[in-house]
Amino acid sequence: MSAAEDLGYQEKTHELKWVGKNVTRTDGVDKVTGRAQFGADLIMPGMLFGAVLRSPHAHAKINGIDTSKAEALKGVKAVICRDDFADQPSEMIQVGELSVNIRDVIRNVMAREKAMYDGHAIAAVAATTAAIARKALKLIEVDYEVLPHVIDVEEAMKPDAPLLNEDMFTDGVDPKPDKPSNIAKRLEIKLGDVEAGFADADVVIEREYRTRPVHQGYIEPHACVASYTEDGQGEVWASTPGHFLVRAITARLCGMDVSKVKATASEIGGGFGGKNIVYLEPLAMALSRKCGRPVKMAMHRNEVFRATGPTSGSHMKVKIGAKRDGKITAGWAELMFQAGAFPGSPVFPAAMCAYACYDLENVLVIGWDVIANRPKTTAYRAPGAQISAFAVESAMDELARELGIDPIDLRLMNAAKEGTKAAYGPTFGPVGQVESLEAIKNHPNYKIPLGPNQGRGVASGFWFNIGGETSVTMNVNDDGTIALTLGNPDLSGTRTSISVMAAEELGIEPDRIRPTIGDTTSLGFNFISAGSRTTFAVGKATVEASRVVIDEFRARAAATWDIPVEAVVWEDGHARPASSNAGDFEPLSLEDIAREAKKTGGPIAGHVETNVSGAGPSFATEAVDIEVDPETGHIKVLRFTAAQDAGKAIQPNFVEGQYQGAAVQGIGWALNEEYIYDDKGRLENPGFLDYRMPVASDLPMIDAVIVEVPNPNHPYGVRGIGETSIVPVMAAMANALEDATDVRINELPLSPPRVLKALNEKNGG
Amino acid sequence: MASDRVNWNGSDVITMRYEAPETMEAAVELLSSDEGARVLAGGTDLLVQLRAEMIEPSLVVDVKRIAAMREITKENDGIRVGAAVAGAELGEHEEFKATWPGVLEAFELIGSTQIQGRATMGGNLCNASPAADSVPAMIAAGATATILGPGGQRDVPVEDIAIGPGQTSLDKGELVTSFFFPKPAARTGDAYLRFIPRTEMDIAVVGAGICLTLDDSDICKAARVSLGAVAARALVVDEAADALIGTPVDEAALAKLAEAASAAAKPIDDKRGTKEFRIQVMGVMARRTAEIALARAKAN
Amino acid sequence: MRYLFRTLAELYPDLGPHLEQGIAVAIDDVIYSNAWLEPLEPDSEAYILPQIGGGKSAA
Repeated sequence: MSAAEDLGYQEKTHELKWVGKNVTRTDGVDKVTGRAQFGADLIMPGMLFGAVLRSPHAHAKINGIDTSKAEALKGVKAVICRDDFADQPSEMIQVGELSVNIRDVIRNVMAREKAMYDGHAIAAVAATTAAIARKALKLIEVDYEVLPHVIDVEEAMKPDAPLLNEDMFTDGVDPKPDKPSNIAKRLEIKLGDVEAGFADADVVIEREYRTRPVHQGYIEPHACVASYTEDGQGEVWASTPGHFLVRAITARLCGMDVSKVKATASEIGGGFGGKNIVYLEPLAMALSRKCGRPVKMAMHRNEVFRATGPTSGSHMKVKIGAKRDGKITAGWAELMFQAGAFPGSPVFPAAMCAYACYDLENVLVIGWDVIANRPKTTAYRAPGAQISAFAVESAMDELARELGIDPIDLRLMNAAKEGTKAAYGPTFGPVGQVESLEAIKNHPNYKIPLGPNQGRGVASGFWFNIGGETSVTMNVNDDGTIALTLGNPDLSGTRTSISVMAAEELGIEPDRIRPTIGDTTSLGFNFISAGSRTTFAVGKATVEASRVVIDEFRARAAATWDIPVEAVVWEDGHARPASSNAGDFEPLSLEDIAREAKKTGGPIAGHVETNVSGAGPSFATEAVDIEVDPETGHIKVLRFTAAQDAGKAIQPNFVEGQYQGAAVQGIGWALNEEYIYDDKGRLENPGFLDYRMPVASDLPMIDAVIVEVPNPNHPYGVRGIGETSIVPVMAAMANALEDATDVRINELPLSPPRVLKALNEKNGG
Repeated sequence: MASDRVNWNGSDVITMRYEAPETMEAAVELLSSDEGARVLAGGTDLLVQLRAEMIEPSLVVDVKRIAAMREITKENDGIRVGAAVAGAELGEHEEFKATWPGVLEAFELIGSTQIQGRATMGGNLCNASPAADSVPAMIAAGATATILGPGGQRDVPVEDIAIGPGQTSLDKGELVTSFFFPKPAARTGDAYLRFIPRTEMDIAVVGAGICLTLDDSDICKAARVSLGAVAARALVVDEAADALIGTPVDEAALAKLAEAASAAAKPIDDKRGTKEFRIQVMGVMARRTAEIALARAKAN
Repeated sequence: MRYLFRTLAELYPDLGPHLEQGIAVAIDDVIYSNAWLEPLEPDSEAYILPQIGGGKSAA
C-alpha cells in the first residue's frame, strides 16, 4: 500500500479541534520582538567579515586577477578568486531533486573565464572588520577585457548578438544547429492538433506580449556564516529555504564530503524562490578554509539586486481560437524567456501552465530559453506561470470582449475540472478552478458599480505544487510534550500549521508541541521549502509520524493492561479500550504513557523518511478594480479580491496572508517594477527607492477568499497555497486598465509613462 | 573628539572627525577649518551617502545641537524657521501650519514618519537635489535663507542657493542657519504637489510649488510658481505666474499656466521618468497645485 | 514503473539519460517525483513530465 493511499483524504466524522482554527504563530513573538535570529545575526568568537568584489562590466573577459595588495593589507586574513575552486564539468547534478548544471553553478558563484553580468562575483575577502574587507576589495586589480553585451531577450536571440557562451548550441531543435547562439533550448508542450483547432474557430485572438524581469524583493539580504576547522570539518549557518541544498552545493564546490558540511538554517526573511540557490556559502567556506576562522558574509541591497536572481523577462506570442458561443478550439503560444547569464529560465513551467486553467483539446506551446548579460534567474513564486498567464489571460479577456461574454462566464465555459487532460500531461483529479471562478462571480466586490476612469479586470491562474523528499522526527518528552523536528525552514508559519496537524492527530493542545527546524545532521534529507510543498508534504509526513507514535502509545497501553494492541484505540489524547469487551480500564493519557515510558520499553518516538507524492494543484481567480488618472497615467488599486483553492486551510489567517502577499507582489510587478540598465549594461536602480515595489499606502486591503476542494492525497485535504495567487495578477491589472480606459497594453510594467503615452495615442495626441 | 574609523596600518589611516558644536559660530569655524568638512543636520541624505561610500568626509559637523538652529520664532514681519528644525517639529507649529500649508505639505512629503523625525529644510536645500520637495514650496512662498560664514551673515533668496545637482552657491565655511518666511498678504494661499509613481516613500518625478494672492474681487494680483525635478535645480517660472496674475484663475488661466509650466520644464530622461512624461505631467501638476492654492487663498 | 522506464530506455536510447534524472511521472491523476516503485495497473495512464521545482517557499 502506498503512502498516498495510506494518508489519503478522509472526510472527518467529528469536528476538527485545531485544524482550520487560527492558533498563535509559534515564531510570532520572536519575530515581533526582534529576537528571531536571521542569517546575519550569528556572531562567533574570532569571526571575520567577508566581502565580494563584483564586476562593473556586463560582459568582460578576465585576463588576470592580482590580489597581492589586498592580501598585504593589515587585517585581511584571506582572499579568494576563481583559482581557489576546482572547475566543474558540464553535468546536471541532483541537488536534492533540483537539477542544476554544476558547471554553471561554480561560474555563477565566482566568475571564471568571463564576467557575465554587472555584479558578477570576481573575488572575495575576509578581514577583521567589514570596513577593512571593503577597503581590500579596492586593492584587488582585475584585468578586464570588456566585450559587447546584450541585455534584452529579443536582442539576445538575434543571429548577430554578442555571444555569451561559444560552446552553447541550441538544444531541442532538429537538425542540431551548426553555430553557437544565446538560445539554450527549445521545448514544446503539445496536445491535439492546433491547426485543426484554429480551422474550426470562428474568432481568433492573436497578440504579442512583453514582460520585464522582476526581483523577488525579500526583505532579508542573503547572509551566512561558515566555519572550517583544521580537521576538515565545515559548518555553515545560512538564511535559506533549504539547508540540505546549501550543504550539497557547498560540499561539491569546495570538494568536501557531504558529511563534512553541517548546515543549519537561520530564520529567513523571505525568499519567494530567490534563495533556492546559493551564492555566498561556498565563498564563506573557502575563505574560512584559507584562514581557519569563521567568516560572516552578508549582501548589501545593491548586491542583491545586481547579482541575485530575478525572474525572467519575456517576449511572448499568443493565439487563441474559439467558437462564437465561447468554446475554445485551440490555444497556441510561443514563449521566449531570458534566463540571465546561464541557461535555466522558468520557461518550461511557464509553457506547462500556460493553458492549464482550461479544458482544451488542442494546445501547442513552444518555449525558448535564452541567455543574456544579466544575473542568472532563480525561481519566483509560481516560476514562469505568472509570465505566461499575463499573455494568455490578457488574450482571454480580449476574446471575452470580442465575443461579448462575461470574462468569468467564458472561463467557466472552458474551465479545467476533474477528468480534464492537461496539455502538460496528467489528467486532473478534483480541482477548484470552477469553484474559484464562482467565488469571484458571487463575491460582493464583483457587483460594486464603477465610477468614471475606473475599471474591473479578472484573470485566472494555475500552479502544480509539489511533494518531495521529507524527513520528520517526533520525540515524546517525559512530561508528555512533543519535540517535533522538521527539516524545512519556515517562511510563512509552516511549523505552526504542521504542529496543528500533529496536535489534531495526537489529541493534544498545539502548544504542547515544540516544532524545531533541525540541522542537516539531525534528520534525513529534505527537499527545500519550495513549490508550496511544506505544509502539504511535511504536514503529510508529520501526520504519518504522529500515527507511528500513536501506534506506539497503543502498544504501551496494551502492554500495561495486558490486552492485545488491536483492543486499544487512541481517542482525544487518550488510550482507551476499544470496547467494554476489551476490559474495563481507566483511559491512559498521553502524559501517563510518556511518564511511564521508561518502564514500558523506553523512549517513544516516531520518524518518517519518505518521498511525498500527490500534491494537489491549486487554481485561483482574481478580480481587481482600478482607477486611472487620465492626466498622469497613474493607476490606483481600489479593491482586489483573490480566490484560491487551498484544499483545506489548516490556519486560515496564514492562508489569507499568502494570498494577500502574492497579490501585492503581482501588483508591484504589474505597476512599476523593472530593472533599468544604462548603455554599458550596468544596473541603474539597485535599491528599493528606484526599484519601485508597492508601499503599504499604494494598496487596498486585499480580500482573500479561501476555496476548499480537498486534495484527495492529503489526510486533511491540503493543497499548496503559497504561489498561485500571484499568477493572475498582472493580466487582471491589464484587463482592468482596458475596462477603465479602452486602452490595451501588452507590455509590463503598466507604469505611468507607458499608460500616459498609450492614453495620448488613443486621444490622437 | 577625533576617532580613527579604522587604523589599517601605519601608513594608511582613515580618519573621520565628528564634531557637534553648540553655537553657529563654532560650526562656521569648524567648517572653515577643513576642506573635507560636511554638515550633518538630519543626516537623512548624508548618512545614506556615507554608507553607500559616495562621500568620504574628513570632518562631519553635526548642527542639531545648536539650539538657535532648531527654533521657530515669530518676528514682526514673518516667521523664522531654524535650518535644523525637523519636519515633525514644524508640523506641530500651529501658526506655521495655518500660514504656510503648502510649505509644510512639501516638507512632510519627504520620506517616512521616521525620516520626518530627522529631516530638515536646511538639509533638503543644501543637498541640492533638483527633486527636493520643500524647495519649490519655499521658493513660491518667497522665503529667504540666512547664511552665516567666516565673512559674517547674509540673506539670500532660497532660489539662489542650489545651483545644480549637489552644488550650492555657499562659500567655504558658510552655513544656512535659518529660513525667513515673510508674513503673507491677505487672501494668500500656497500649495505643493508632486508626481510620484507610488503614493509615498519616493522622489518627485515633477513637483510644483505655487503661492498666489487674490484681491477683493477674487482676481489674482500676485503669484509665484516654482517647479522641481524638471531642470538642474528648482525653477522660478515668471511666465507661469503671469498666466495667473490678473485673472480669476479660471480654466483659461489654468490652461495657460499648465502650458507655461510644460514649456519651462527642461527635464532629462532618467530612471525616474521620461522627458516627454515629465513635460506633460509638469503642466498637470502645476494646474492642480494652483487649484489648491486658489482654494486656500479664497479661504484666507 | 521501473520496468516501463527500462523498456522505454531500450526502445528509445536517447531517452535514457532523461529518464535517469529530472523527471516526474503522473500516474492517472497523481504526480510522483520518484516513481520507480509505484505499481502500474493495466489501465493506468502514465505521463512523463519534467520535474517541477517551484518557487515560493511556503505553506
